[in-house]
Amino acid sequence: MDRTERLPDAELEVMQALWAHKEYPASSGALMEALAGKRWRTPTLLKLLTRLEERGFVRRDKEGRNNLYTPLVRREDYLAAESREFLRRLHGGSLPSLVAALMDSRAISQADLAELEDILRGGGGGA
Amino acid sequence: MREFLFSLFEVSLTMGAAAALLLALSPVWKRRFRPQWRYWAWLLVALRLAVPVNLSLPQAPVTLPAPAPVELSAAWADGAGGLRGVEFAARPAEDVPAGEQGGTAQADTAAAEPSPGLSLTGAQLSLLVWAAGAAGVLAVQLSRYAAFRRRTRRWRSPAGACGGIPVDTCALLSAPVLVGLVRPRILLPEGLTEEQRAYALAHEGAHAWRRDLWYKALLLWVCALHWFNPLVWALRRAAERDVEICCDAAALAGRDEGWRRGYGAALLSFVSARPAAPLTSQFAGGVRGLRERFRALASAAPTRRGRIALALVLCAALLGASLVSCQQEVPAPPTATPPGEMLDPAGLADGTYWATLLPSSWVQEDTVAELTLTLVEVDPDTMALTSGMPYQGDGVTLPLAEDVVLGNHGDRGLRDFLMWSLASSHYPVVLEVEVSGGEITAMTWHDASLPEGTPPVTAAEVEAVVHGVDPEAGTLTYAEDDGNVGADSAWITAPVPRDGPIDLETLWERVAPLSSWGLPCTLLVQSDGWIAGVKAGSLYDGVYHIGPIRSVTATLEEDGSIAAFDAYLYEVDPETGQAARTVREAEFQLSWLDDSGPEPRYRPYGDIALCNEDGTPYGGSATAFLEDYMADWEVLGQPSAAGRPILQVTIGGGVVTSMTRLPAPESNP
Repeated sequence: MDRTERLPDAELEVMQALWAHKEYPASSGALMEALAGKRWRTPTLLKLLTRLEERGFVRRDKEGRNNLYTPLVRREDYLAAESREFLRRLHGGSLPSLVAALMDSRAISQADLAELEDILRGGGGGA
Repeated sequence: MREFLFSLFEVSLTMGAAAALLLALSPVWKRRFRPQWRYWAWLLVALRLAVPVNLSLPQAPVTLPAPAPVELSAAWADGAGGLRGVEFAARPAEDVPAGEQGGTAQADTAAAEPSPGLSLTGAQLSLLVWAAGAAGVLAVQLSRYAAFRRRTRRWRSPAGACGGIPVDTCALLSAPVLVGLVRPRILLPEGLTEEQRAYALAHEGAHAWRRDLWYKALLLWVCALHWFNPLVWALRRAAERDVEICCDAAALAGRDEGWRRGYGAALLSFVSARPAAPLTSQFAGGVRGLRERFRALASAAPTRRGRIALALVLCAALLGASLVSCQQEVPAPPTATPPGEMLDPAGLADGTYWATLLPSSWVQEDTVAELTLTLVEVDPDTMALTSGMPYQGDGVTLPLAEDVVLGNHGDRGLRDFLMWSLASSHYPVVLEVEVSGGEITAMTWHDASLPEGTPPVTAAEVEAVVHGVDPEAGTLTYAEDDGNVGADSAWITAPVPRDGPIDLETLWERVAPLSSWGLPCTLLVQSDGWIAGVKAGSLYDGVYHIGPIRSVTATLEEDGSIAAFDAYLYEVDPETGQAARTVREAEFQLSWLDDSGPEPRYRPYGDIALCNEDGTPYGGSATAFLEDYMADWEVLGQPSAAGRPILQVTIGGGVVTSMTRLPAPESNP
C-alpha cells in the first residue's frame, strides 16, 4: 500500500474502533458508541472521519441521513507499514536501552537458529 | 571544576581498568561462577562509576561549577545513597532546583575559587566537551525511549495483569517487553499462545521483580557520564547480557526440564517470529548473546560458586583502582600478573606445553574462541606420558589466537583438527601447544604412548543417568546414579569411540523426549574415561545374533504388537556364517517407556529397520516380521544347524533399532 503515512493518535483511535467493528459499513452513531470512553463530541468524530476519508483510509456512503463508513485499509496492512517504520526508527530493530525485552534479537540467520535449537536440545549443555 | 574533571577521569580510568580486568577474565569466570555473581560485580563497578567524585580525598570537595550538565552529575553524587539519581537523569538539567543540590555552602565556595595550575579556558573547554557528550548520549537514549513509549501506547490494549503488573498487548511488537521504571508494564505481541504467554510473563515478571530496568538505567547513566571511555560501554554490553541470563535463571528457578525446554522454545519462537524487516538484516550482533543464554538454559550443571575468589578479585580490582590517583602515572591495565591467578592456578606463562584435549561443546561453534586443555607431561624422546593421564585432571582454558598455526592434521581446518583426538586410531594422542601472551598461538598433534607400567585400560560398570548426548562431538554427559540425580550432581562429559558399538544418534532419540533428568542405564566406563558401552535394557547397545525366539514377553495394550521378546544369543562365525547357540539369554525390547505424560506408558519404537535375507527392506510391521521369522523357524528350524534362519538385531539406546535376517550359510555336512 502506498499510504504509509502515520496517522495521528486521534485518527488511529477512530480507525481502531472501525476495525474492531464487527460489520461494515458502520454508522457514525455506532462508532460514537464504541468510542464512548473518549468523551468526544460527535462533530469531533465526524471531522476525524472526514480527514480519514481524505487520506483514503475510509469510504463514506450516504444512507438517508446516516453516514456509513467502510475501512479501505486493512488493519494488518496499516500495522505492517507502521511497525516497519517503527523498527526503522528504533535503529533497525534494536530496542531502547530502558526496555527489557524477552528477546532483543537483531536479524538472525537460519544457521544461527539451527545452532541455537541444537544447544537448546541439550547438545551444548552438560557439565 | 578542575577537581571534578580530575576525579571524573580518575574514576573513569581506574574503573575502566577494573572493567577491563573483569572482561579479560570473563572466559575463566564464565566457567566458574554463576551469572549472578557477575551481575553483582558489574553493579559494584557501575556504582563507583556513577559517582565520579574522589571519595578517597578527606575533604571530599563537591564542586558545582556553572555549566548546567555538571550540576546534573553533582546532584547525582549527592543522591548517591539511593538510586534517586536515575529518575533525576530524565529531567532536563535546567530544572534542577538549587535546594536539591544539597548542603553545599562549601560547594559554592569551591565553585567560586579559580582553579590554580590549569588555564581556565582549557579546563572550561574540556568540561564543555564532556558535558556536551554526556548530554548528547542522554538525549539520544531518552528520546529513543520516549519515542518507543509514544509509539507503543497507540496500539496498547489491556490484557490482564501479572503479579500486580499490568499486562497489555501491543500489535507493534514482535517480542514481549517490560517498560516503565516507576510503574512497570508488560507489553506482549498479539497472537501469543497460552503457553508462550506464560513463558513471556515469567521472564518479564522476573525482570520487574528484580528491578532490572533500574539496573539498566544505572548502566545508561554511567555510559552517559563516561561516554568517552569505550571500556565503560563494553562493561554495559556485558552487564546487560548477564542481566538477561540472570533473569532467565530467576524465571527458571524450581522449574523442571520440560518447562525449561518450553521456555527455550518460546525464546526461539520470538526470534523467528520477527518479521524480516528490510533494515534489520544488517544487525547480526545479537547471536552471540543468545548463544550464551541458550547455553545457560541448556546446561544442567550450575557452575561453581567460588564466592571467595570472586570477592578477592573484586577487592583487588576496586582497591587497586582507588589507590591509584591521577597525580601519579596513568596505571597500566593490570594484565601482566592478574589477580586472576587465584581463579586459575594454571594460568600459563609463555612457552610450549603438552596437553590432551577433551572433546566438548566447542565443536558446536563455527569459530572456536577458546579451548580447555588437560596438561600432561611427555618425554619428548620416547613420546611417553610421564605424568598425567589423558582426560584426567583439571582443565585450563585458554583463548585461541586469531591466526593460530595448526601443525599435523591441521590441513582441513580448525574443526577437523580438534576432532583428531576422536578420529585418530592411535591412543593416546597429545597436543603440543604454544602459548604466548595468554593465547594459544600454535598447535600440533603427536602420537604418544602411555608410561611404562601403566596398568592396562580397565572398564567398570557404572549405574548412571545419561543426560546429554552430543553425536557431533562424540560425547555423552552422565552422572552416577545415586538415586538423587539433579542439577547438583557431578555431571561428566565423556568421549565415546566413533567406531564402537554405541550409536549416539539413536541414544539421543531416547534421551531427548524424557522429562526426567535423563536415561538411567549402565555405562561401561574405561579407566581412561572413555565410554565403552551403554546398557539401557538387558543388553549393551550393539549388534547381536539370535536363533529362535523363545517367547514374546510383552505386547502393547493398544494393538497387541510385540513389545519385547526373549531369545538365546548366537555366535556367528564370520568366515562360514555358521551360527552356534550360546548359553546367554536376553530380552529384546521393541518399545520404550515414555514418562513425559501424566502416566508413563510404553510406546512402540517406530523406526526399526527391517531387512530380508536378500538385503531388501521388509515391507510390513516389526510384529509381522517377527511372526514370519518365527513361522520359518517352525518349518526350517529342525534339526540341523545348517540352513536355520538367524536374525541380526541391533540395539541402540536399549531398544531394537534394526533387525536383519541373515542369509543361510552354505550347507556343511
